Amino acid sequence: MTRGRPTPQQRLLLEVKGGGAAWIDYDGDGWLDIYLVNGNDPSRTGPQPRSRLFRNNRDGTFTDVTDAAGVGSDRYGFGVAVGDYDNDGGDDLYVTNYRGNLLYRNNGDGTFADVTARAGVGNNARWSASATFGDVNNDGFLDLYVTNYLAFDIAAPPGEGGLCLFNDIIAPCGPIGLSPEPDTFYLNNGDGTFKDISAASGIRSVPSAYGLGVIMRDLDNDGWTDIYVANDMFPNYLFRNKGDGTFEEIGLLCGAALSDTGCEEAGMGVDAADIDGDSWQEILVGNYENETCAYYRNDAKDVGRCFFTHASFQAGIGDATYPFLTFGAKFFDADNDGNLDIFLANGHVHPNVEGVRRPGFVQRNLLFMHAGTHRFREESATRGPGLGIVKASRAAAFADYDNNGTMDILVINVNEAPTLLRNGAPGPDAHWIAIQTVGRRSNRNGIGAVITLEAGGKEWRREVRRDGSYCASNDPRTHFGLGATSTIDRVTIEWPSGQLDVHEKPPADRIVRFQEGGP
Amino acid sequence: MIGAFLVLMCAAAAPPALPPHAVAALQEAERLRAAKEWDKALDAYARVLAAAPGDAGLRVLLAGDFLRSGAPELKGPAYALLREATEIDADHFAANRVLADWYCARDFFRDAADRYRRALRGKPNDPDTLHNLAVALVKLRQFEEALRVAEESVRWSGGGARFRIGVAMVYADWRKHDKALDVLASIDPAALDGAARTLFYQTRGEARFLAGDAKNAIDDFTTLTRLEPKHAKGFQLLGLHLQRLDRFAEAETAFRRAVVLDPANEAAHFGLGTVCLRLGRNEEGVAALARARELAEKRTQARLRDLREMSAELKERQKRGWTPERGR
Repeated sequence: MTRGRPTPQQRLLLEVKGGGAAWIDYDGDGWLDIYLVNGNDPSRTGPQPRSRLFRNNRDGTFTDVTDAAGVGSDRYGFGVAVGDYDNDGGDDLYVTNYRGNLLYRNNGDGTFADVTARAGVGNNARWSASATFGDVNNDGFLDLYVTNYLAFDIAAPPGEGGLCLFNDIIAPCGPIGLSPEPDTFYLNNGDGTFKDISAASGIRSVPSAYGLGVIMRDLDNDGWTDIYVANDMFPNYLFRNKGDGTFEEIGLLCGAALSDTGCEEAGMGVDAADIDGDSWQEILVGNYENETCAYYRNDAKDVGRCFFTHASFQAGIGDATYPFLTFGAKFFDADNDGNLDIFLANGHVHPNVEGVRRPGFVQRNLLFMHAGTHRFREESATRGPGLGIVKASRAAAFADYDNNGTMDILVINVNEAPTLLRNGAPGPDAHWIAIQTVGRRSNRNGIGAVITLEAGGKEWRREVRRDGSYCASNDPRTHFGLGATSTIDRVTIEWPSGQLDVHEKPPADRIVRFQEGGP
Repeated sequence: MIGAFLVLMCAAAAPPALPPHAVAALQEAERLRAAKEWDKALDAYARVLAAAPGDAGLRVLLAGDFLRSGAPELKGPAYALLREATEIDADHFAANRVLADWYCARDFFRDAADRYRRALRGKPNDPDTLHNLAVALVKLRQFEEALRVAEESVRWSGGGARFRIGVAMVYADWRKHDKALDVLASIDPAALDGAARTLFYQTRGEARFLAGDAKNAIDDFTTLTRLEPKHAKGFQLLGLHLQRLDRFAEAETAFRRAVVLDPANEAAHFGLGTVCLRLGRNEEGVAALARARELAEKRTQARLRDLREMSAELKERQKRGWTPERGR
């Protein structure tokens, strides 16, 4: 796994932002496989590095099946989204690149077909970063949102040969001073094609920004999927789904756009989840050094309308994240205690800061464990040697790849092999369940379904999603840590179609598959 | 910048002796400058300097004069003169100090640290320069070295309270809040003058908040606003920390005072807008946020100007044979 290095000093902005990673069960065997998005080397005349698919051998090892699967793109790649866009039961891949994204349709036989042109999702010649699938009109088909970064010509980079002074560091020029690109939003027509609704939906009614991270979530609990975009050096955007095919941007008025002193930050990775059990989702955004990771507490319940409070310092992640530059950022239950924790993948974008500032280009990643309502405590040093690894990390993708009940993390590193952080087997007081949703009237993945789980007098509410983090796609199964509770009373699933399914006393400590309208 | 003037004025106490033709050129330059004929004036100054090719003091004198004039056209030439002075005398105190401050103001902390070190060779153990070097090192997150230098500044100042606050600031930025508070506990704020007292309460308030002592942090910011009732930033910080404790109504009062004292305080407008929205007064909230975003736009434009300045700096360095590889 390499990012291309056309110049010895990574003088192009293009070279410092990727790459991506996805967990995908491409062969439908119940074991998650890996797709890694690679950069390339525009100055090289021979074969280029390519993106790679690795099949899970079910024994802790993986086999490179890129050629057989036909997904070895040699474009300069960044991110990846996984979703069954045609509802045929196979995970499809959408890969974002510099100039020309790719949609690979899963043929169901271990191979993929490049259907980009037919589907109409190539995104012209833009430079894209994170993308995500979600059903914004609840029609049973996954739509696609693609963040675009900025206008960049690799043949004529800005500045002095692509280089600028950033403070006193020689660094790739940008993004400031370069033209931001508007994002792209595709509506699934349900026949294998998509329609570009960027303008019609209203998402282009806002100023173009340097988009890097995106999630789809129902952030106002109205049954319609909203979109949150983490922008670099621009206010973040929260597009509220009005339910009529259009969106309105409400990030600033809802308190989810800026720092608590009103500054736009360098948004990259993003995730959302209900942290305090009030059914309203908090938002987490990874930012630049000398900024904090943003923790937007959802106060809608108290305020009576959409309202987020920037609460990084109150949550205990403000001071601790200030020196780090965070790309991957996600809530997950690291120890199956029933509370969501935080993992941050860090690394600077400028190689030349190494030796000048500490931490420098390579940085350690951070694990924050839940420490009370809206409170976290950094425990990276005591949670295993994998958290002591120091690299320039980018994407972080989360999944239980060994199906042992704990969430593992795949981290992409610049110009180095990725890091696979295996989480140990759950302890006796760390029960769990992972729920795989299979839609029938709803989209096949069940993306957007809301699962409410009741056990031991507690209640958890989670949305089925594969997005979250940066340029990444995660485990399609929704994981719940249950702590010491080994008996589940009830699982209720509200499907995007409106179907409501109640499952009494499903078994704990296993992966359970629930089909829409089924037993 | 006031500090820079003082440094330059001290350095320029004795005007150098010049040959008659250079004196005439200097008089002509002064006349042209008064007439705002900048290019011609700079040509005349160049003739003066040509008569004293090895005179670092003359260059520092003229640079100070240019900066004091306040003319934007003379700012660039002033810093160029200071650079020339340090090419003649690498350890020239005043030239390096002013250049270091210039680099600091533009977040060129590595260059700033380098210049402060050179200035210290010209005037060893100068407490102010040691303090500023510590600040630059903190920005580079070289905390061990910053602490050592800050402690040196305390030693050479004879234990000055302002410099001890500097040590506390190093600890605070290092996230060693308890140590910062220990240092601050050794200082009697009643004995401090205005600026040092402001810095004391600001530093202690922030350290206390981050150490988990929110109540006393609020007390510090409240005291700061009582002692310095015209200090807009004090009210803004009080508002921010009250807001962080969900004390929105009190935060609103503080933010309102801050924006009255300093209508250009973007953070205070933003805080005011946020708490008004939180309290359900949407119209006021939206108006305050709109004002904050207007100010943010100005900040963005200033950043673009900085970017252009950095591009010019890069070109200047490349002209002097500086390559990216060497700059690493």
